[in-house]
Amino acid sequence: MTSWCKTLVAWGVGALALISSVAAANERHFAWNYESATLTPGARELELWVTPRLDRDSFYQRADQRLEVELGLAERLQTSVYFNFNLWRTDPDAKVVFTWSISNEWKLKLLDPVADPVGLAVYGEVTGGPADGLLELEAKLILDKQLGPLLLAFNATGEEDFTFGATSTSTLTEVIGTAGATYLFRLGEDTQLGVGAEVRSESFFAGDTGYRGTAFYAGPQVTFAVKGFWAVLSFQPQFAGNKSAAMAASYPDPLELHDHERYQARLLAGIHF
Amino acid sequence: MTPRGWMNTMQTMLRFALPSVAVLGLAACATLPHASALDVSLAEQRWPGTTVAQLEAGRQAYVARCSGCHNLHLPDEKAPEAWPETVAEMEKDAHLRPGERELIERYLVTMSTKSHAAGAAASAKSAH
Repeated sequence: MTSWCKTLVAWGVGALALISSVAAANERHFAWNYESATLTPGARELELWVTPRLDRDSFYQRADQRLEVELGLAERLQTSVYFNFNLWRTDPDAKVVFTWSISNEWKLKLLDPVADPVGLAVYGEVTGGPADGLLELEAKLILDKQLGPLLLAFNATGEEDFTFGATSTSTLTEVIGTAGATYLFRLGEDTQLGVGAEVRSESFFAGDTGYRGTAFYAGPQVTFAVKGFWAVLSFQPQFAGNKSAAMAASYPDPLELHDHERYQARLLAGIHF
Repeated sequence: MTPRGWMNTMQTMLRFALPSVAVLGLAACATLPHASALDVSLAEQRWPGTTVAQLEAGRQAYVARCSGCHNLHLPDEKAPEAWPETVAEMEKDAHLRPGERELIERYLVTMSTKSHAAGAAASAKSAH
């Protein structure tokens, strides 16, 4: 069993040990789209994320993992802290590179997806890590709506990444749009299964050279929830790409594989404790 | 970032965002109903003296206390007689304050009664 598999199994066993049957979790229904729901004051949730990312214009394997604790602070306001662990390699014979960072996020719910015409929330996140003096700032606008068993979501995200080098600082701007739809099947009073799809566009802008390119992803997702636990699994291949003229001249592949992967997947799980 | 780069991004986002927002706009028609004076007469059959303010307080408590754990259910998703048991089961999980359970139950039962009565009337009309 590879070291990555062992890590995933260990997390899975640890996660199962924490399942509480006391209260329902703030369940998620999408792997890439955030929803407007926030935890009730005092409620706590542990979330585990694994995001495998494979294949660029050259050899590339990566797994981004996250361990997150969410806390409901007040009506419509929640915060969370998470540890990010990234493993990757760009050469099949090279050693796996490991980096880590810590993030803090805040989400404020403004409108409810059932009670109001549309669900609305605003989100802010700051991430810092020792690798290359990393600092990331992210803001998100979250829209969602529930129509009976059908859930719809749309997010607009802007992110600014700062890398502080010894003599200079470089920046990378990401503009991301996501949308998704999930249809829920109620299997019992507290059990539900959802199937749906999500689409994403991710655009990168470098501080010194400007627009680099855009990758478009789409794929299915499956969600499952019982009282106290939920999980989401999604697979998204890149189906289209766009590049700046300079990037297109150097990398003629129709997909944007210089800064983005050909395949991405994500497994999320949440446990109320 | 060059102007052309911004144009590329904005065009991409608009192509992507407009259909999504349009769908959400259409979807905005379905919401959790507000109580009206007509609903009071239904509520008074079970709870004499009920006011619109009390039914609205039940709606607000339902949104505030119950949407944190799961997406809300519309009142017509359950029969009126099913709601008291559901609210009782959720009382502890939702950390309801004293009095909130009765307000939420009163709102959900009343709005479910209205919805089911309207549905029965529509079925009777179409049968003739």
